[in-house]
Order: sequence, then structure tokens, then C-alpha cells
Amino acid sequence: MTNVQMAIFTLMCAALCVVANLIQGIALEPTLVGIGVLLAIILGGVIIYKLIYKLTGWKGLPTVAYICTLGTIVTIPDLLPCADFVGKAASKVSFLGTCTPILAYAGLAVGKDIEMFKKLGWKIVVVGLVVFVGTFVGSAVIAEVVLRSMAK
Amino acid sequence: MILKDFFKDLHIHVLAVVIAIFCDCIGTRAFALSKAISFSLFPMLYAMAIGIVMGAFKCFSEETMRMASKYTTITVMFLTAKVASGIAPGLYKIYMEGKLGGATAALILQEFGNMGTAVLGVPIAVFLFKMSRAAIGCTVSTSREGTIAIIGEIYGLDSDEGLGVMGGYVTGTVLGTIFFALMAQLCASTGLFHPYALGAACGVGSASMMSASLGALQEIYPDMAQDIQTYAYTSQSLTSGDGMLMNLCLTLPMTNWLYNKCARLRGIEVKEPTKPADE
Repeated sequence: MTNVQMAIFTLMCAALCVVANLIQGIALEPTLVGIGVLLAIILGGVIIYKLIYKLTGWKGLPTVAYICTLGTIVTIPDLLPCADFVGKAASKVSFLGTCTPILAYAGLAVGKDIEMFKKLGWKIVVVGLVVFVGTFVGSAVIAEVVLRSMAK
Repeated sequence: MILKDFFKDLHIHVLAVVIAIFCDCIGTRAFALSKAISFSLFPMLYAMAIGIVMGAFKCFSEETMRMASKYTTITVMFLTAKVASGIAPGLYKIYMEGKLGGATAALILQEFGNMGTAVLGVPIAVFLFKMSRAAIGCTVSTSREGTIAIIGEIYGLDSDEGLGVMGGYVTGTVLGTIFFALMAQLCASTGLFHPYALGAACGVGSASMMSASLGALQEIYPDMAQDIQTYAYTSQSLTSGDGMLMNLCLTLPMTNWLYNKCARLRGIEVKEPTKPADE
């Protein structure tokens, strides 16, 4: 995908997020500001990714890693003067609205793997549920041990 | 002409845009099974279901579906940026409100319990089911939207790993809330855990799953309902904050390592990690 294609497509996703926000009854102005801030973070992350690749040829981390790190750093309270503004602006963008386009494309994409899904079938359901047991019991055991050791 | 390629895929985008807007219009719908157990359906779930059903009935070409997979890696950037911008303010707020109190250590350390997904999931997937690298996608976390973003970008959603995370996503969305409510009740009935420890465990990063398990606990321990809720909400905020970074830096490498170890023991041929179709 070329940069131009990526840019057009990114703007289209931005438009989808705006529409989702408006449907949920959030006003136009905070929506546009919020999306603008997110676009800036994304652009920053992509530039860092491309720069690192150009300078070192290293392609280790995915773009989302840079976007995530950059988004976190620019919102740390009192670190940068923009932190408060960025955090508040981004919080106006609906979480659900950013998820819908992902799953719309993901749904279209996995349609072709339906046969493989069938092969995985109930096994993936069992593993999925085991995973839930893992996270719940894992957290409960650690919390229990720490709480008990502190009570002594 | 660079734009030609983009417009060649125009029908995918039209389709995706129509699906997305249609689903946003339907909005979130909540259903209650009983007082303690309820579940919600979200727009993204309908969006995925429509796509999968259309694909299953071969409403469009395989080429279309392959292109759609490439575009998902860009759509996830908005979610990533949105989630990331909430991490620091969220953690700061918990810290300032002093909600953590004397149980700070317990609440922070139990976050590492979320790695239990892979510790328990990978061995079962490998030894019981001889699963391919789909096991990695499915067990790296509870397969919520953030995980789809990470797996989609690193491996591509049409890879084995991508299938795993999508399978986990569907499982969690359909069965997650009910399963968490039942599990919380079961764990409480063992008497092994303090209600606060269970409360802290409720924060798994998905609001619907947390509400389900928290609701179940509050039914059992009505006297401690408020305190349990504080533990659950704090743990939930911590997980939504650290979840993505932890997945990326800690759990995903560990899951890969664990899968390779287990697969070798089980005698499965370990495939090289999938690389997504490049730009």
C-alpha cells in the first residue's frame, strides 16, 4: 500500500468514526477536535515507524506499538503542556465508534477462512473459555496471596 | 496512477462503510437474563456477523476478502490511539483519588494474573487439541478489541494467529458475560478466596464481563457490595490502562515462548510466525 492510499483510507476511517459519534448524539465540534487529535497521534506513530525503518532498517515493532507509546506519552499529566487538552479531546471520541469499522473489515476478511473456522470449531470455544478461567483465577490467586501476606 | 488501486477496491469500502453505519444506527442493545446476569450486544458484533455471513455465502470474491484483511491493520490505529490517550489520565486519576489504599500492592500485582490466560490456555490448546499457532492468538489475552488490533498488525487477521484471536473474540462476546458470572459464583463457593480478591479478579478489561462477574459477587456478598465494587472498578481501570502495553511487551512474547516449548514437547511442527502481507 502506498502512502497516498494509506492516507486516503485513514481519512475514510476517520469519517466513519465521526459518523458513529454523531449517531450517538455527540456534538460535531468536539468530535472533529477529538478525531483530529487521534489523527495527529496516528500520523506521529507512522512517521516514527517509517523513520526508524529508514534510518536503521529495523522493522521489529508494529506501527500500533509506536502509536500506543506516543499516545500514552503525550497524555501523561504535567509532562507536556498539551497533555490535558489531548486527553480530554480524545475522550470525546466514542470507543464503540472506533471499533465498528475494524470489525466490519475483519468480518469481511475472515469470511474466506470460514472452512478453517469450522476445523477449529468447538476447540477454539473451549480454549477461549479456559483463557477466561486463567485470567480470573490468576488474578484472584495473586490478590488473595498478597492480601493474606499483608494481613499478617 | 496511484489512486487506481484504491478505486479498484472501491466496492470493499462501500460495503464496509454501509455495514459500519448501519450497525452504528442499530446501536447497543442490552438484554437481561436475570437480575445478576445480563448481556449487551454491540455494533461491532453485528458488523462482524454481517461480514462473516456474507463471506460464508460467497457474496463476494476471495480477492475482496484478502484486500479487506489488509485494510484492517489501518482501521485499528484509531482504536489504538484512542485507548492509548486514556492510559495515563486513567492511572493518574486512580493514584490521585487514593482509591488503592492499603491494598495497592494486591491490586497492582494481580494485574500479572491476567497473564494466566496463556499459562493455562496454551498447554490445553497444545496438549489436548494439538492446535496450530491459532492458540497464540486465542490465549494472549481475553481477545477483546485491543488484542485484535495487536494481533492484526503483527500477524495479519487472516493468519493462524488472527483466526485464533477472532475465534476468541466471538466466544467471549457470545458466552463471555454468562461464563464470567458463573465462574465468579463458583470461585466464591469454594471459599478459598476473600471476596476482595475475587473483586479484584473481576477487572479483566471488558466492561460487560466485569459487570457480569461483579454482579454475581454482589448477590452473594451483599454486605460487602460497595467494597467489592471498588476493587473491581480499580482493577478494571488498571487493566484497560496497562492491558495493551502488557500484551505487546510481556504476554505476547511469553505466549510465543510457551507455545514453542509446549509444541516441541507435544511433537507438533512449529511453523514460523506469520508475517502479514506487506504494503
